[in-house]
Amino acid sequence: MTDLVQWLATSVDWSSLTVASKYFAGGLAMGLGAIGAGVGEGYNAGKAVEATARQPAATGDLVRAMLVGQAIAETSGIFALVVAFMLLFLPHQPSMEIVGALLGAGTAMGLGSLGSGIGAGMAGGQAAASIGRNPESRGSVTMTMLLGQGLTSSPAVFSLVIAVILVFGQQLNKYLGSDLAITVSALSAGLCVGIGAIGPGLGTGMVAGGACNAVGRNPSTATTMTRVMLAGGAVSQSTGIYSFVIAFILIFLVK
Amino acid sequence: MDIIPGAPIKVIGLPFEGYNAATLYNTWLVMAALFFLAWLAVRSLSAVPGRVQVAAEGLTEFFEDICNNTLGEEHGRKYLPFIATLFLFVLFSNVIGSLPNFLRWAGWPGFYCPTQDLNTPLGLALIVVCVVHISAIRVKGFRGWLWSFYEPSFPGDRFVTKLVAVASFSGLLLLSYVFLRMYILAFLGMGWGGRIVWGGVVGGFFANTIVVMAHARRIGRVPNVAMAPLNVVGELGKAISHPFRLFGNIFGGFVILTVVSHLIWQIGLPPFLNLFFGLFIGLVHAFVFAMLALAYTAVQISE
Repeated sequence: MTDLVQWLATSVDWSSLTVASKYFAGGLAMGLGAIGAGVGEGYNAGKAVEATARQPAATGDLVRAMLVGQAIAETSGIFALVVAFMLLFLPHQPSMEIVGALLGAGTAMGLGSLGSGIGAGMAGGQAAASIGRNPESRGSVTMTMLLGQGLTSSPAVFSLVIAVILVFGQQLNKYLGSDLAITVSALSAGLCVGIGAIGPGLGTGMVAGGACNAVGRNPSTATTMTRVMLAGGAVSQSTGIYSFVIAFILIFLVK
Repeated sequence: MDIIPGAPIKVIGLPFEGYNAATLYNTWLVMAALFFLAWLAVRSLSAVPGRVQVAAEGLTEFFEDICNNTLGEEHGRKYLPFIATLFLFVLFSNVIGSLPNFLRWAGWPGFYCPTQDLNTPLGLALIVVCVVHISAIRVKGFRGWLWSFYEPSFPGDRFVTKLVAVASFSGLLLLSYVFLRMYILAFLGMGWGGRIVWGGVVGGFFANTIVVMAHARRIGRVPNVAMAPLNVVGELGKAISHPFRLFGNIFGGFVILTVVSHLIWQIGLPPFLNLFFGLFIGLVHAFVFAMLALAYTAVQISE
């Protein structure tokens, strides 16, 4: 093991590998990060088109609700774009740990925005369908949709936090040696929070979509529905929070 | 390109001491603007309202409707100032960064969103957490607040409740017996600070169990012990995701604006990017921030 670490530290050109990994991680972040937001916004627009066919008189409301929903569903894609810019344009010192941290940051944000993007799109799509069924309910449905999408973006926010910590990890002194454990822990922190955010993002999106649907059917229950949605969404997010905690432990407690 | 704000300015040089000049000046500016607008709105109130009064009344009624619908008539009016102020402060903090920045001299750092400094959203979210839990304690009482972490609970007769109480107490005692030697050795080995903290943690567990079991016997329900850690983690997750959502969106918009404007030599596109990221995203996320604060309050104070 010591031989391996020595060989890695002396015989590998870490400075060029750092540059290579920052470009690779930037591409990974934005490439994977585009999936969720794209699918979600498309689902949202598709439901809005169906609703317009059902209720042509409400076209203005539907287009407005669709655009607001899509703008929030794009949040996770914007996070991925920010992390990609940071990876590409910030200076990074060359070391083995930085390679792990950069790859981890790219993976975290790329995978982490997948579930949230699709989930926020589901919420927006169900809201558009509800407004199409019952245009009177547009106020409470839009409110429920905004809250639901805010809830849905939490896993992507957790991924953003971990990715930003990993990108700026070079400022922590411990990243400037050559230690295999720290390299792998930084990489696996990114994997942990990234993969862990897919399911909670999708699940919370289903919760929010169901709530929008229910509010559209019976607008007088909007308050109760919002409360149930927040409680259920928080429980379905708890697994994402577990992976966030584990990623924190991997970053800060592995020495 | 200047993506990362400068290091905090230190006055004395203590750890964690110091301030970020850009955040501080712009926060003062936001507060001054809000004071000025409030003064403008109430300067000459009349039965036939002027333009400013109509706008202020419309905003107040909008938020009063939302608060009354979410919290009910008896609580809604009480929380209206908090929620509306939160919205207005975050909104102004989000859009102030879109103002043109040609006056940058003599230490004035330029217009800069206070919310793109993580400290501002963290402070606001800390206020929200305190307000939510203190109002939960005021509305439901301390025992009711503690009990809410053991929801959803089951109905049970006195025998079952007593059984659960005995079981959880013997579990705690068994755990402390198993860890007793380790715990005493560690306790003796640490300084007074550690003794106070760990004594408080273990004592808190026992006190919590006593209070919850007494409450369970009083209301005749069985606490859901398995849900307690999940509820605590859920509250923590709310407290973490609430500030970071605002910060991520505003900071993200700022980074995109800076990088894209730099890449196209400030030609053409920046006003439209400001329109989208500054005004639209800023408005939507100020609303989402205030509404999530309202919804967290509603979840805690209405059972």
